[in-house]
Parts: sequence; structure tokens; C-alpha cells
Amino acid sequence: MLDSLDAALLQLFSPEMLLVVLLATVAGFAIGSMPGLTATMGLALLVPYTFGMDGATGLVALGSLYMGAIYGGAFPAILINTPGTPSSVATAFDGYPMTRAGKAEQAVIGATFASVVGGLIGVAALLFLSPPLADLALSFGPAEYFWIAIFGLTIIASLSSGSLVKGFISGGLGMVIALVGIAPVGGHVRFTFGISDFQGGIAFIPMLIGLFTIPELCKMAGRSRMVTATLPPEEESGGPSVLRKTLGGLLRRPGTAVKSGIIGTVIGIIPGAGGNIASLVSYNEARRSSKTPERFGKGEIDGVVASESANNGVVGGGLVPLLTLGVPGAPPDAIIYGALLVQGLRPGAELFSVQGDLTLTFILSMALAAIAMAPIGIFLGRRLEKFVVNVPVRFLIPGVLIATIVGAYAIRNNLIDVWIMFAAGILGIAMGVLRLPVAPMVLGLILGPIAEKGLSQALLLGPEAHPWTALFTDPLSIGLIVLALLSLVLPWWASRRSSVLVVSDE
Amino acid sequence: MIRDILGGLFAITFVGLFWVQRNYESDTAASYADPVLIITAALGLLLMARGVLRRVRRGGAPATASEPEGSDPNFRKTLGLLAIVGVWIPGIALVGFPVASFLAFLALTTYLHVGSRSARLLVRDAVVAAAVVLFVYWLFVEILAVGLPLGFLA
Repeated sequence: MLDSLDAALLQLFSPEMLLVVLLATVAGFAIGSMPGLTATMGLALLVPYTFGMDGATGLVALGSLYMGAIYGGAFPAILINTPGTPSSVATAFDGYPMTRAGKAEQAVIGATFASVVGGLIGVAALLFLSPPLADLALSFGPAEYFWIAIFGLTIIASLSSGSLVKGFISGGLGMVIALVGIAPVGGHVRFTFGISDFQGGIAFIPMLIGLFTIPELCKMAGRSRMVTATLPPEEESGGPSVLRKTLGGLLRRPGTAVKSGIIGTVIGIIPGAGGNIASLVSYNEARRSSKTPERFGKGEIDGVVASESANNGVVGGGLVPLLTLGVPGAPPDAIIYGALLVQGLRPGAELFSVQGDLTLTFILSMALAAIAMAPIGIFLGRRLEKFVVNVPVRFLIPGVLIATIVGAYAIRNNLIDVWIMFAAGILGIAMGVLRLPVAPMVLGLILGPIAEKGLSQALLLGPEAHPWTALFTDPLSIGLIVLALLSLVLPWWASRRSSVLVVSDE
Repeated sequence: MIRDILGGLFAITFVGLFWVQRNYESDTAASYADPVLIITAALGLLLMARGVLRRVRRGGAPATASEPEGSDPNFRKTLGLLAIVGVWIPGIALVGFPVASFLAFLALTTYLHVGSRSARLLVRDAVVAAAVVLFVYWLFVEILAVGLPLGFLA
């Protein structure tokens, strides 16, 4: 894939592409800095807008928005003690005490520095780990793809906080919805409820838009503004001298940022563990290894650095299993998976060989977005954040709704997709009220068809007397079964470890 | 507890709607779909049973601390919002995207406004609604080449 480096760099450094990176990063920042709007929701809203773009531009926009949104979540965590995204929870532990101590500027600089470092480490892992993993995927047959899908479904264990049963029910419902339409093997039409528009299956993107946006908008309704807290006044920062001094201090001891970035990347590669677990684990590791652990929780800049470096490391790390195996590690990756399919791209070795230019452009653009976060955050961030948290809800909700409706319509120029989006929104609300998590349903929607195709083909190719044995004979299949079991246990262990550490130190 | 019972019932009903639609043409087709339906329904049953058992153990007392954490949307606001969107979507086919969206946007800003309403506020909201709708229309039709229905304006 690195043979395509010249072409990718040429494409990436064109003025149009640089503008896309910049705008998408700023848009992501704005979404992430608004408590209630998540990176997943932002990506779901952006996907339909990428249809009119070529594959590279669309993916670059999504990657940059994702990076910007995770970074943007740090601002409300630091300034108003309200994490913009779940990944920024640990940022508030020390970020807000710094703001109260009049050191908001230093906290923002620390978060920015860490986000850039963590983001770049994640992208480096994506760049160098993905091609060999994708080559391995070339040797996969139907049985292996079935087990890959099962492996992906075990992610549900970590996505379903609270009740594993509810998580698996939600995943099962997603798989049930994915049954609608033409069967992958045999080609007969099933579960369409007599609606001819369903013969091609339930459109995936409108489902995602509805599931992730409508319930959040309904929760927002009833509030007059996004947040009730007021931002602290612009402090007398001393301008460039604080920037120079804080940055100088961080650069002299980059260990925390680098270590946390690596932790975040590794946790990101483990499907399902996600940014919130990564930031908590990194925060605790930074405190454990600090010479002054007693300062954590009271305004220690290393606490902000650890959390932010880790959650941005997850962005690149989480894309490794997605681009190579088609297993989305977290809900935002599931949206990017949908965008890949819309552009006619399938995760796996082909993405790195035939589509090498495009894939490399996408990966490198995320590195560029990580770097772009520095000027955006330091020079625009505070003002932008102040603006977005003050947008009245009565304008924000119809504004987002119009984007969801037009976005869903734009997929096939058909109102049926808008109705699907609306129905998915109502389904999402009902699931929220019943405390059934939505994220596992998305995994079921994505991995259901992969599992079905793999299973059906493996059974057809297996020995006539005992076709099921075809699923257990190959060493690769056995390896994937072991991985699936590990993926069930590891996030649970990481989550338990981070919560035990937090509790024990409180 | 009650949410577990309702959640399980929801899952079983959902699966049931699909179960009655089964019309496989081969054993291979059923080898995946049927287990998915059965396992999901079984999990729903398990959730219901768990909810009932917990309720029995409490002797029918209302749930307090053990009820899962989370926040519900405001029921009245949610219904109103969904009703407006429910009219907005067919409105696009009937009167076109610009008019339906302008009216729906204005209805939503008015509905979601907290505090006293005035004619001046309505005019300001109408200006914002018109600006947003025109921007979205321009963006999709002119830039992204998506043909949005114009309705009677065509």
C-alpha cells in the first residue's frame, strides 16, 4: 500500500482536500463540543452529504469529523464540567478543577497537545498494522467470515453497559431486521411484510440516522439551552507566553501523552472497548506512575493529557479491525463502515491493494486532521465552543431534524428512506425507555448479513453427512473462536479494572 | 423490573412479527434465520423472567435504587415533536420540500420555545426558518445535485 504514497499525498495536499479536512475537523469540533451531540450522531448526519462526493473526499470528511468531534468533547469537559462525548469523562476530572483555578488556557493547551499526539499514534498504528492484518483476511473462507461476524457480535458485551442480556437482545433485533429482503444464498425474498421497497433490505444509513439522532433530539426537547452552566469569563491568559510555557513543559516530558496514546490505540484495536474505557485506563495509569499522584483530581495537567491522548488514539486504533476485517470497533466506526459500503468499498485486503490510493489518502487525512486540531483548538476553540453551547434548543432541534430528513431522502431520492429513518427514531426512543442499548442493534445490522452468508456457504461446502463440522475444522476458525471468547472477557476485565482503580482512589 | 418485563415483551413481540412471515424455500435459508429468531425471543423471555422474579422478590414493591440508570425524554414534548415530524414527511410529497420544511421548522421553534411568545419572536423565528430551509435547499440541489421535491412551486 505504501507504493501509493505519492499519489495519496498528491491527492491529500490539493487545496480542495485540505479545505475538506479543515471544514470537517471544525464541524466535528463543533459537534463534539456540544453536550448531547456525539461523534456517532455527527457522522450519521454527514454520511448522506458524502454521496455527492468521490470516495476519497467523502471518507476524508468523515475521518476528519470523527477526529475533531472526539477532540471537541474535551472543551465542555474542561470549561463547564460537562463532557461533550463519553470519551471525555476522565478529562473533566482534572480539566474542570484547572478551570476553577484559573488555568483553563493551560488545560485546553494540554488537551490539544495530547489529542494531536494520541491521534497521530492511532493513525500510525492504522497505517502499519492494517495491511498485514488485511493480508491475513485473504485466507479467510466462509467459515472464517462466520466466526469473524460472531467475534464482532461479542463486542456487544462491552457495548451493553448494565445488562448483557439486554445488549444481546438489542443485537438480536438488529440481526432480525437485517433478515429483511433477499437471502444472500438462494436469493428468495423474505420478511418484507408485503412492501416491495423492502426487497432490497432495510436501508442501513436511514436506520443509523434515525436510531442515533431522533432519540437524542427528543431528550433535548424541553430544555431552553444545551447547558445551563455559564462559561467562565475569558481569562487574562497572557496570550503567547502561556502557550509557549505550557507547550514547552509538555514537550519536555511527553511520556504521559505518548504512553496514553499507545494505551488508547491498543484498547481501540480491541473491538468494543472504546474511548471511554481507554481514557479511564490511561488516566489511572498516569496517576499510578506519577510522582505526584495526590495532585490528580485537583487540577493536574497530566490527567487531562492522559485522557485526551487515549481517546484520540482510539480513533485510529478502532479503524484497524474495521478496515481489515469489516468489524466496527465502536458505533462511530459502524457509520464509517456504512459510508464505505455506500461508496462501493468493502473492508479487507482489496481496500489496501486495489483501492490503495484512496485508503492511504483516508488514513493520512486523519493524521492531517489530528495536526489541524492544534490551531483550531488553540485559536478558535474557546470562541467556537462558547457559540455552540449557546445555540437555543428551539433552533438546534429543527436544524438537526432538517439535516436528518434531507440526509435520509438523499440516499435514493425516495421518501421511503425518510419514513425508515423516522420509524428507526421511534424504535430508538422505545428502546431507550426500555433501557435496551441501541449500539448493539447497529452491530447486529452490520454483522448479521456477514454471519448469514458465511454460515450458509460453509454449510453448502461442508461434508454432506455433517455440514456443521465445516465451522470447526480450520485452525483459523479455531483462532477466531478463541478471539471471540477473549473479546467477551477483555473489555469486561478492562472496565472492571478501571472502575476498581477509580473507586479505590476516591 | 417493570422495564425488564416490558423489554422482554417488546423483543418477543418484535420477533413474533417476523416469525409469522417465515416462508423459506430451503433448509439452508432456515439454518440461520430460525436460530436468530429463536435465540432473540428466548433472550426476551429470559429478560421477562428476570423482571418477574425481581418483582416477586420485592413483593410487588415499586423499584427504587436497583432500577437501571438513565434519563427518559419528556413524554409530552416527545409526542409533540414526533407529531410535527410525522406531518412534515408527507407534507414534503404534498406541498414540496421548501414549504413543508419552512412550516415544520416554524412550528417546531414555536412549540419548543420556553417562555412568553410574541409576534416579534415569531417573525424572527420565521426569518431563521426561511434562511435555514433556503440554505439546505441550495446546498442539496445546487451543490450536491439532489433533487428535492418542489411541490406546487415547480
